[in-house]
Amino acid sequence: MNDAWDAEDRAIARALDADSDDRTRDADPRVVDEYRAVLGHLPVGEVRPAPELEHRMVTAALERRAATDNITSIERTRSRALRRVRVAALATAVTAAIVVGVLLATGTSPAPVPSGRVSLTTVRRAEIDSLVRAPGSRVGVLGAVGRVVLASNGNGAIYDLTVDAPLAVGLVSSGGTTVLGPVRPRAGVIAFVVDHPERVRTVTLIRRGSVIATAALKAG
Amino acid sequence: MPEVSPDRLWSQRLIAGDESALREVYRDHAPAVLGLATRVLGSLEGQAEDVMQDVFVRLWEHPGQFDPARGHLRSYLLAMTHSRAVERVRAEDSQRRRLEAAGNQPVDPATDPSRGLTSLDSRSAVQRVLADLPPEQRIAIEMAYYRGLSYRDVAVALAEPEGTVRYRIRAGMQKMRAALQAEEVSP
Repeated sequence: MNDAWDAEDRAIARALDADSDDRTRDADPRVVDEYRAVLGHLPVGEVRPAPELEHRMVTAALERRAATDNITSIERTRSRALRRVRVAALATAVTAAIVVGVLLATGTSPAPVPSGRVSLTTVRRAEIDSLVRAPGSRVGVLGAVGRVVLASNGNGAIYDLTVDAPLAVGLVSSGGTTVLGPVRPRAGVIAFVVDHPERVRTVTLIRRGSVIATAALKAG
Repeated sequence: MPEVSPDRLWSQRLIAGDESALREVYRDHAPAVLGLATRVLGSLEGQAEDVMQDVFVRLWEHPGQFDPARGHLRSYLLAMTHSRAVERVRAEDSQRRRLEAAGNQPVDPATDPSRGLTSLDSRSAVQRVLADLPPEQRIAIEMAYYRGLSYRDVAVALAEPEGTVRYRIRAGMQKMRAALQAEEVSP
């Protein structure tokens, strides 16, 4: 029996959490995954949780993610003030720009999950403002990352983005979720169009597979 | 159109912040997660539920860390459960008490979760292999996995050299991995 640890020993010990991190640090993640898959097949003696634990868990989970959505009322007030002084125009232009945009991704889930697409067309600030003021538009604040507007005709935009990296947009409805993109913002904006905007309750921004901001849509 | 696995769909929905996906994943996997946490934490009352909550909250908070291409969601959740449960066991310095309680006894057949495996209808090749392992390999694996013991602690509990314990665990784990791989490639 050899006392020296090899790659296999390290992977097994890591999968079992059976030795120090120092000794298993260089374990091959692929092999560790294989052994974790093995352990995932072992009987665990399932225990059905008390019903109230689901509510407790969901509440805790939502609170945790909501941390990025807890924009201060000061920022909301500032946002509204800025919108008031912006030029009102070009609502049709933003509509056209979005509709003729290049298709990057399409959520093709069956109803009632909406379908949508994002546009590569650069959208100007005035066009965003028009969209925000359009009757029936809903808006949300994506934490410190940006804002979202979704008009009743299905045109929407993520704007004031502080992240200049490829982002995906999640449109969450009661029936499921449509993910658009990823796409790199243009001038701080990602424009999109969705076929059933009334079904979208929440918009999320996703970067490298992780949600970085969430906004519940509310009347503007 | 290629079929999309449920794990991949769940992953996409979780990433997008779909709360209903979190509830579905919880209802599907919470019994196994709580079962394993209870198994590892033993008498540490109430902590298994806390670990279970931690696991699902973390999945919700960092959904991108689960990669469906690297394995099943169940394996991912159970690995996280095991890791967190073991952390708690060790952090609370309950190892000594657990070892004292366990003495040099093998896994108690009355509470052994793999009991009755031979009567199951071939649910898993891995479980069959576990049941058929030589007792010294099976017991070492069970002590490390279900009790969250380190190799050193298993060695102390069994009064064997640590290298022997490591060898036995390795041999048993390799057999189970081979069985799983054979099962996955067979039609």
